[in-house]
Amino acid sequence: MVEWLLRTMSADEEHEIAAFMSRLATASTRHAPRLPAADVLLVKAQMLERWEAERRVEAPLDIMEPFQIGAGLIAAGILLFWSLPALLRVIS
Amino acid sequence: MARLDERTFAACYQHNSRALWSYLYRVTGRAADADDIVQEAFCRLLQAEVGGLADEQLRRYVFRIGSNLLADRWRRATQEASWLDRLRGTTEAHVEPEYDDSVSREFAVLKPRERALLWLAYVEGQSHEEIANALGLSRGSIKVLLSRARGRLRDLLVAKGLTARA
Repeated sequence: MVEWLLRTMSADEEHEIAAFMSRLATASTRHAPRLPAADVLLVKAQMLERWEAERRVEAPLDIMEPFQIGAGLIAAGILLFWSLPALLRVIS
Repeated sequence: MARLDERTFAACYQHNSRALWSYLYRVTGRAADADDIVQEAFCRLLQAEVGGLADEQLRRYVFRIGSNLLADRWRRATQEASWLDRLRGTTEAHVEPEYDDSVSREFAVLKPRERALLWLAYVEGQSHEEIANALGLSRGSIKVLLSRARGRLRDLLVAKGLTARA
C-alpha cells in the first residue's frame, strides 16, 4: 500500500546521500557548543532533583491554598453577619 | 538497576555530548537550543536508572532523551505561536536556522523531522527500531518517512547541482 512512497534508490544515489551526510557531519559550524564540565552538570542535576523533591512535598500546600483563602473569606463573612446587629447597636 | 556513578557519567558526557550537540544543532539550526537540550538531556540521564547499560546503549539512551526534549520544545513553540497568531491575527514569521556553509544550508531546507531521521540513520547509524524509539514514531512508519526524506534530499542535491546524476 505504501510502496508508491518508497522511492527506489540506486546504490550510487544511496552512496551520494551517505557522502553528503558524512560531509555534513564533519563540516565546521559557525557556533561552537557552550557546554559546562561534567562536574558542573552533576551539581546542577543534584540541585534540580532537590528542587523537584521540594516541589513535590509542597504541592499539596499549593493546591490547598485557594481553598484556605476561600474558607477564610467565608468565615469572615459569617462573623460579620453575626456581629452586624451588635455592631450597629454600638454605633447608634 | 542503579544510577550512573560519577566516573561513568563523566566518561559518557565526554564521549557523547559533542555528538548529541551536533545532532541537535543540525536539526534545530540553533546553537543556544542545542546547548540547553544537551545539558537537560544529561541531567535527566543522571536521574535515570541506567547504571548497568553499556556505552553504546547509553549513547542511544541520551539521544532518545535529547530527541524527546526536542519534540517537547517544538510542541510548546507550536502552541505558543498558535496563541500569538490568534492574538495578533497574523502568522508568526518563521525563524531561519543559523547555518552558514552550503552543505548545512541544503540540509536546512528539509523539515526538522526529516533532518532528525537522516542524521540518526546516516551519522549515528541507528536502526529503524532505534530511530522509532528516539523520535516517538512507530517502527513501521520509519521506512516510509526515511525514504521520503532521502528522496527530498536527493532532489535538493540534484537541483543545486551537488550530485553528478540528475
